[in-house]
Amino acid sequence: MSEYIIQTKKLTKKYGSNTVVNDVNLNVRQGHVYGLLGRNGAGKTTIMKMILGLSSISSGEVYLFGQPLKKNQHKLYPRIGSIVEIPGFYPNLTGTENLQIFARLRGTIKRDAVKRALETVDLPYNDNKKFSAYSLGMKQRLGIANALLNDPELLILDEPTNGLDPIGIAEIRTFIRRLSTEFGKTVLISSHILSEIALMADDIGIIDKGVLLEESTMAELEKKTNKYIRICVTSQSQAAHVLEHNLAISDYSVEADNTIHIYDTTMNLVDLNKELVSAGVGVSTIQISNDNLEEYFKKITGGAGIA
Amino acid sequence: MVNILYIIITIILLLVIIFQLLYVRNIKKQLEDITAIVDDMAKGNLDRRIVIAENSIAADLSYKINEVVINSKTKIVELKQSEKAYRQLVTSLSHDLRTPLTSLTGYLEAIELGLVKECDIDHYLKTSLTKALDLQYFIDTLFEWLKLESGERLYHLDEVEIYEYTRTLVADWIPQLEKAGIDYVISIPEKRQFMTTDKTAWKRIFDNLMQNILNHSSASSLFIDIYEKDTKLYATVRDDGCGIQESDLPRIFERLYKANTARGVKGNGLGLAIVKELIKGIGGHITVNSKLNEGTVFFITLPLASPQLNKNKSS
Repeated sequence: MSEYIIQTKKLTKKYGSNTVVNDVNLNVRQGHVYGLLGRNGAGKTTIMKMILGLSSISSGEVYLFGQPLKKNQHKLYPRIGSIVEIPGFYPNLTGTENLQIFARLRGTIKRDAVKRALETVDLPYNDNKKFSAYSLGMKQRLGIANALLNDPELLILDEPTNGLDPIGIAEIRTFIRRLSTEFGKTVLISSHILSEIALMADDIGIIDKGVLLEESTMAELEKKTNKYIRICVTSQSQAAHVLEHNLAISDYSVEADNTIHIYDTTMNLVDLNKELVSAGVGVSTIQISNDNLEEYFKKITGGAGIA
Repeated sequence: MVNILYIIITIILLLVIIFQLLYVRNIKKQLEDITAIVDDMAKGNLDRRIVIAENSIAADLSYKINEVVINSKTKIVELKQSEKAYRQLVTSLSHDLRTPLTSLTGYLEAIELGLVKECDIDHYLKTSLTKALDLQYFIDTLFEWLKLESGERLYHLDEVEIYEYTRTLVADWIPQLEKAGIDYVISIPEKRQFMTTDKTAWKRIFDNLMQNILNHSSASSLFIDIYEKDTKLYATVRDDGCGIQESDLPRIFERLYKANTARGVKGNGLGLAIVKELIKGIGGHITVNSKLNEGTVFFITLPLASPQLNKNKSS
């Protein structure tokens, strides 16, 4: 199988003169979790809809499982499970009945597929609760059950943690990681919650105003986000003096809460500590820190950050 | 009149034939699709699934094929995890051996290099001996466990006078209990009771449980209670120590599982795993109950007569 499960070439969506997705070249690796990161309205959902055939493609191409999407939909879509936007189910039917309808429409892979899917997301099977009475969390879980119904090779999940409580979010996170690491499935998730994506994804695509600004692995991204040495000292002014006078370090910034960030990370922590302490500066914290993902995101979107 | 009848019959027959042909073509198409998917499966993609309508003729066959592939995939996933666990085991073991050995060597080298004062040499030698014995104990435990794991341990059954034997086992531990300041209440019946079991296995089980209590429980009291009823022997080993967290409880019998992962804490994570395997091997059963800061109780059941020997490892 080709290395990339999803590849888009110059994928574009225009509504009249308004371009919401602009020449996007997405590359989703097989067996990994790809996080599409962007603000609300950046174009994440539109891209997913175009891949799934829920929205027409203005221009560009989509390749799935190494094959062009056009003319192969009937062969390719059964291999994908998805949730895009709010899960759409019949409100007057129970969760089981809803899934059974989808099972009849799409076909299944085993006799008790509906039962197993509901078990996986911890929803009751064959109960009487109508979908309209479901909490937001339950609705989301039903959507996930629907996506997993046929044990697909590729999962496309639009904001899967939407509406879940912290425990639910942690469970989904563990679940998605397991799908990828243990079962070798490929997952494309979108989110505007940076911290969540950072914990779930292997690869990240940063999208803003319809443009894919950057695509890289989580590991590379961590390298890029500026590393600095963070020290908490008893006297910032004295510490600054030591840095400049004794160590000839000028690339640093004084922060709040008695903290100083030193951007010269080649400095040996042990020597730095010794130098400060011998000069009479107390050091309560000394560690190597990263700009977190949010700072980096702000930087490359050149904006106010996440909505 | 008759001509019209012939025409109608011909038309009906033609329609039937056409429908049959269409039906067969439909099935042929389905089978072609299925074959394409099975081809992909055969090439090694065990993630493919045949998606088919439940009422289709080929449904049962497709579901069976899916089942076969899912089973293969699951086996492979399990194997990979087992492999990962073994790799972790090897790393952990080499670490567990290297650390005390390095420490021991350090002490002895210090003496050899003449870095130790006369008056301290005695103390250093004592410490070195203790460390060497600890290492020996660990290696013994390790081999015991490896033998169990590979199914090579043979159980030698004997008629054992179980109460008297257990009393001697307990007696061996009393010096250490007293040194650690642990009160003990031992309730073993005075009468003679014979049991068919493996003496060394029972000693090992008992020793490991006691070692665990000494190493980890910080208990002040220990209660051992043994009695027999019907065809079984029941033993409870209870301490009033720090207890085991609920989240750790189901895992304490796992090999290399340590509830307290701090380095330098005694224990290698194999003691209870060995206990569980041995008890299983002599046909018995062990459960544990615990409450944080209140204590822990191990509850063991063993058959008095010839136990069902369980030499084969079941994961």
